[in-house]
Amino acid sequence: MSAVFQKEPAVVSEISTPNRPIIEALDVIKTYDTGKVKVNALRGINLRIMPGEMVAIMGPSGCGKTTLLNCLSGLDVIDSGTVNVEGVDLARMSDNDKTEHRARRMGFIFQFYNLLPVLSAVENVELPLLVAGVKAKEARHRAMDALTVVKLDNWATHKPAELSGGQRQRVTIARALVNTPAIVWGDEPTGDLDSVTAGEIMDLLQTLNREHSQTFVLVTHDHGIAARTQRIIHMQDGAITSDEPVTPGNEAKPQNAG
Amino acid sequence: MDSMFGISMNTILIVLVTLLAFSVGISLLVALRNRIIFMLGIRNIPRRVAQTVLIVIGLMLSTVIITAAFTTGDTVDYSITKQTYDLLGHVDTILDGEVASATGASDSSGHSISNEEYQTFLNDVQAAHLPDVDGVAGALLSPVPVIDARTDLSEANVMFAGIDAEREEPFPDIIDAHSGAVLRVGDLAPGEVYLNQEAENKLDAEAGDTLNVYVNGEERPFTVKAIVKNAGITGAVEGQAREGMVASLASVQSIVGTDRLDAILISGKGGVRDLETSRKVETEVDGLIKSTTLGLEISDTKHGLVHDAELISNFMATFFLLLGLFSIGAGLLLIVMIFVMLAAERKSEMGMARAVGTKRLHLVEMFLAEGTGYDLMSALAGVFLGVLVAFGLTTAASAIFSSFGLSFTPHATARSIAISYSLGVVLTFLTVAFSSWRVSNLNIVAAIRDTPENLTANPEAGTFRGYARSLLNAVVVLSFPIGTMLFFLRGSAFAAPKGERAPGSRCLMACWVSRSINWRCLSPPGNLFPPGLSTYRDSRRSPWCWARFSV
Repeated sequence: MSAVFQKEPAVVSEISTPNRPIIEALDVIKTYDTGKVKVNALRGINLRIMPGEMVAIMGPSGCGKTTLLNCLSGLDVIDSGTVNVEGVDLARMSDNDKTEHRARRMGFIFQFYNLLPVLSAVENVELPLLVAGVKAKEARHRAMDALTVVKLDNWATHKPAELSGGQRQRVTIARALVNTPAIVWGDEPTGDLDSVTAGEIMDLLQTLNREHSQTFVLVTHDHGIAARTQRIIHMQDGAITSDEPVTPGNEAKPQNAG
Repeated sequence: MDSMFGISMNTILIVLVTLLAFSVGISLLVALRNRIIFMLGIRNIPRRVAQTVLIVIGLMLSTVIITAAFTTGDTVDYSITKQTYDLLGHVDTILDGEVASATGASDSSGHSISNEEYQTFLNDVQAAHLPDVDGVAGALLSPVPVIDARTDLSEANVMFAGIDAEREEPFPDIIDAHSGAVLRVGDLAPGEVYLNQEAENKLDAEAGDTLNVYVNGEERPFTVKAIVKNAGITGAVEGQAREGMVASLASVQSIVGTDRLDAILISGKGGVRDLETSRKVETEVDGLIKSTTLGLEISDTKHGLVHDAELISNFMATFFLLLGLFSIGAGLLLIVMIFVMLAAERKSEMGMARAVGTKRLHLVEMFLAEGTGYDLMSALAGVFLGVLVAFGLTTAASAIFSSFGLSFTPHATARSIAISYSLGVVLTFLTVAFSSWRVSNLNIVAAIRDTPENLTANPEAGTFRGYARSLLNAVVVLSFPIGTMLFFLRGSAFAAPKGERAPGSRCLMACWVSRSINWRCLSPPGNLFPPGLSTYRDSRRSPWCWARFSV
């Protein structure tokens, strides 16, 4: 493991302790109103995720799992209820505060990589650090270390267009982890990858979770991926239908198609 | 052009260059503060070359119009000013005797200064020791029909100028068209004249030709001693009819059969383009003639005519700017549209950047950096194209109006180009800044997914309140170009000297338009000034002028 990650293993903030949830949702409601149709995306979600947990959110398409992830991470706003992240109510944070919090304490891995095409791999990785105010030299050093962790240090100066899908997702992971976040959010992190590459990515995420006690919340359709987490939350029609730890017997059993 | 909307062009230049530096400085500050954001913006420029070219073309529209307007003003200013300097030469102030005419002192032929009055004035000048006056010479102008005996070509209206040969030294404006040597009417033998280039062209004449001049029904033969450059002193006093020839005052007086003069020419100690001396000469001469009872008055001054040329050029630049105002507005809207489309194209990238910790301000800075890159390029291209457009326009205008004696020499000053470039950059920068702020406001989730924004239904849609709000928005949007135009219209009125403003300065614009159209048709014959300018000068004397020009 890279020196950078070894230097700062304590990703759990001073606010969140192992006994208190790092993420807490209370009666969260989210409705999309297009004027003609109202869609109840989240209907009174209650959820607690403890520091260092690796959680999978599963469910059929349109059940609200990505909406839940977006609302918990502060990317989207909720209509009612409360979301506390590291003991802070997101509703009480300004847009800038939330952005800074994301830059310092969160990492994001999305299905379609979403790397900035005009930046090289290392520049993409160092972006969250630079906008968070980390000095350029240190940011570059940490970005290179992060790329080393995902075994892409030799591809640091390449633009995303010059990388394969798996390599791009590794860059995304490096970017998500470079700021040693307390929470890593993944929306179908392996959705666009072949099974071998997906397996490698999950190995990497599990290692990071194990070694650094980082909290991972992954939205996935893939039962194989979910089975490698510690807890699986199933959703249906905007509500949580089951929330169970992964044990050798109940590894990501399908509840509904999707 | 020295001013616009009553503001000195130097002041405008300083303000705009400061704003330009401020605009570029902001981008440099972004580069220094956050290199990655700056690179994120700048690297988008060469991302798609064809798109970049289209954006540059779109962004340069306002600069083209602004540059074309200023360059047109420069061209008009330069052309009329040059014409003024060329025609007046070393003459700084011209006296005539129109007041004497009003008192009945003038004879029936219209010559307004008698030889006695002229001699008395010469003595007064000598006694007064005017410090800035270095020469005084009487002049007579008489339009005569001429036939070249060799070519058999005729010209009905050649201005026969007579200059006091004993006092022509301070007026070295009779210049050989071929050798450039300064000639003197005192060197002419009886029966010899210098023919100016305009008359040479019309008569196809050359040195040594015999010209038959018809005065009072008699044919008088003259020999062309040399072809000289066009100048007021060589008879090129009319915009439409610059054909002229020159001989000594005594010679012309004897041929025309009068002992009177049309004007007294006064030269200052400065050079041809020394307007400061021209002002001093006017002051000194004005003081002198007011202390005498000769009935002379200052008919025109060089600095006054140059000032008038600047007023006309200011008008032209203002006129083109006003005409182009809506196009400039459309150009700015185009910039907004371009940036909205750019943002739409990069929506998911922007959403992701926001998700990983990039603030809205960072996105604004990113677009500003990119926009400044486009801006600097487009303003450069816009200035270049604007100058070309203005040169094309003035060349075409010159060709159209050449038969009226109007000719424009394409000209652009570094100051106007700098102003146009700075104004183009600043206007575009402000628009880019506004657009950037606007497009940076996005829903992160919708942006990442590249789906339409989660717009909630407008509760006012289809209601009276909604329609009223739409109407109000339209009024606000339209009020910008209309308000700016009204402001400019009013502001342009103040470009006129204070003393010349009509009571109700808004009519000045109409006055200027009328006046500019009526340059030639209202210009009385026999004036020693460029066309129209004499009319303008005359108009300053008469309280009736405003009514005349406003009607």
